[in-house]
Amino acid sequence: MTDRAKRKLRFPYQMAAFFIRDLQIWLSYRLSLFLDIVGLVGTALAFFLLGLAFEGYIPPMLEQYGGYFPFVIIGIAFFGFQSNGLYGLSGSLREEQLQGTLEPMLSSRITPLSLSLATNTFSFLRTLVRAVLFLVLGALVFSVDLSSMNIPSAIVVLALSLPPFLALGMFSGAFTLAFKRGDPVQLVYGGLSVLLSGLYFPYQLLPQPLQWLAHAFPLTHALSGLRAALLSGASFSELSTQIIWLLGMGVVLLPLGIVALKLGHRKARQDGSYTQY
Amino acid sequence: MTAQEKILPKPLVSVRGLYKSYPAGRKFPWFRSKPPILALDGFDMDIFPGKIHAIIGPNGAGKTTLLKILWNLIQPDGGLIEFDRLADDDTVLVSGEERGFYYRLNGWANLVFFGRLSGNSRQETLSRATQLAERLRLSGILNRRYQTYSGGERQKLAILRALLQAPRLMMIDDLAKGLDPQATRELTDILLELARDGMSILLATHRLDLAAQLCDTITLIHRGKNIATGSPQKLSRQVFPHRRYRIVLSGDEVTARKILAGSITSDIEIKDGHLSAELAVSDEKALATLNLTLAQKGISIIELSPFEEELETVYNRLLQDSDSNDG
Repeated sequence: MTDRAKRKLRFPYQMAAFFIRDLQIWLSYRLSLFLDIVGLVGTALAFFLLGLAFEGYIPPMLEQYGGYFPFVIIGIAFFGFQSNGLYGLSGSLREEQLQGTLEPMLSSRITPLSLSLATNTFSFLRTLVRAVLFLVLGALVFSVDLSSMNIPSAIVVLALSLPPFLALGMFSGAFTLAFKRGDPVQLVYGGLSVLLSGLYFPYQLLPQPLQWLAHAFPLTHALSGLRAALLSGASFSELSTQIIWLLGMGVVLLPLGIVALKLGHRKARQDGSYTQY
Repeated sequence: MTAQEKILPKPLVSVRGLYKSYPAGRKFPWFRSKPPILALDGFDMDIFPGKIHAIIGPNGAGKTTLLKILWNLIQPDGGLIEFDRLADDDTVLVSGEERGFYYRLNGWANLVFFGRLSGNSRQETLSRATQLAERLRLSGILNRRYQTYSGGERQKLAILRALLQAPRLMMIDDLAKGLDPQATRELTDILLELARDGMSILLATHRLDLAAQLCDTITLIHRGKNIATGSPQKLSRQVFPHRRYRIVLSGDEVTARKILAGSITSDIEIKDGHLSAELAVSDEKALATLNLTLAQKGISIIELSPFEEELETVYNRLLQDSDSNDG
């Protein structure tokens, strides 16, 4: 069997390895586990109270969502997926460097793509659970109307948003490998996406040039599609714009991300800097 | 084919003319590039199957760079490395550093994680790890979190992890770093056992005593160059070509001094009425002539025993010679 074929066979084991390792480490920090739940309830409550402050007045732009709280809770519930993609790989690489586990890990000849996917497995599922909990909390405790939600549409939009998020994480990981600190992807993209992508307020409030710029962020289309699917029950055809944007971004960014990550690994090998941080 | 080629097996790894330099950063305030740091400078070496081979040298000589290049973690600038039918998984590197495992996980969980990364199931990893843990006398501690392990236990766990891959070549960087004598002895016993089973082991170490005790071959690396390779005895011969003996005599001191004048390499000491000194003679014939002369002059030899110089002396001489050759 060729080395390439062997590597493909290893991938399920590698996914399982990262998932179980991260679960075991997460469970070993019991206080953190408790604080995660407290944080989730606290965040939902804070935005609920903010929504209450404007009760009785719903800006026309938010009418389709039924108010500010339903709008923002979808944003904060699903923003975690971008954070995972964007910060997951570089954060994990840096942590492995600090712990001295990166070199033994690379000795298993894990490919850059497998590493990017596997290292995000646990945090992806954790974010998914958080997102579902946010929605359940929103619906049961804070009366968010999810009665018309279209789950298949939401799953498709979420699934299509993952490749571009993952690709951005690969760019970020490449910078971590090559330059250790000063990652412009996290700094510029991470910062701007929070401001422009309609996380806390509709991006249509922004001046026209910034609205155009907002279209360059996968998060804009992901959140817009998820809000439409979960709050208005939008069908696939009604979400075609978001789906095309996300699909196009995935097709373009993912191969570029893989190339960037390979270049990052090559630079680290040339400089002998895998263990430097 | 020469006689030597008939005797020597094909090397498992053959390294020829290996070069590696690292960028040294830029000078403030003008940001001109500093000259690169040369880590390996045309380095040559052969590693033979089933042997323990040590790389010794001062700090910064290029030992770790060499090991990481062989493990494909660092890309060389030039040179040739040939592996004799070695697949990716056949080579492992064990770092002497105490890090390298997850502190919050116990030994088993750590081993299962790294086993899975190499494509083994939990069951396969546990079954193999159980056998290896018994052999390395680690079974009793694997249920404990890694953060509670001693330095020796951590190094042994790193070796166990490496052995999970059933490698043909195990490279160990900084062997026995910070270990107490008992842990060191346990570790060296394990390495000797592995070599007896046919594994090739490449050690980078500052512990000259361990290198002399364990290794079939020693390579001395200095400023990125291989300045000497051979068995501890061969290296000793290279520096001290004459055969070395300790001699204890009884008889007239002045006469003894005259006879030994061309051969002694130490001061003559007088203890309990006997004279003792260290000799260097070119061959058996010269030694026989010396014996005869001493006997003719009425000086009796009480003891004559051959000895090799300590590796540390050989090491220091080779480094000095290399420095003086470099100007």
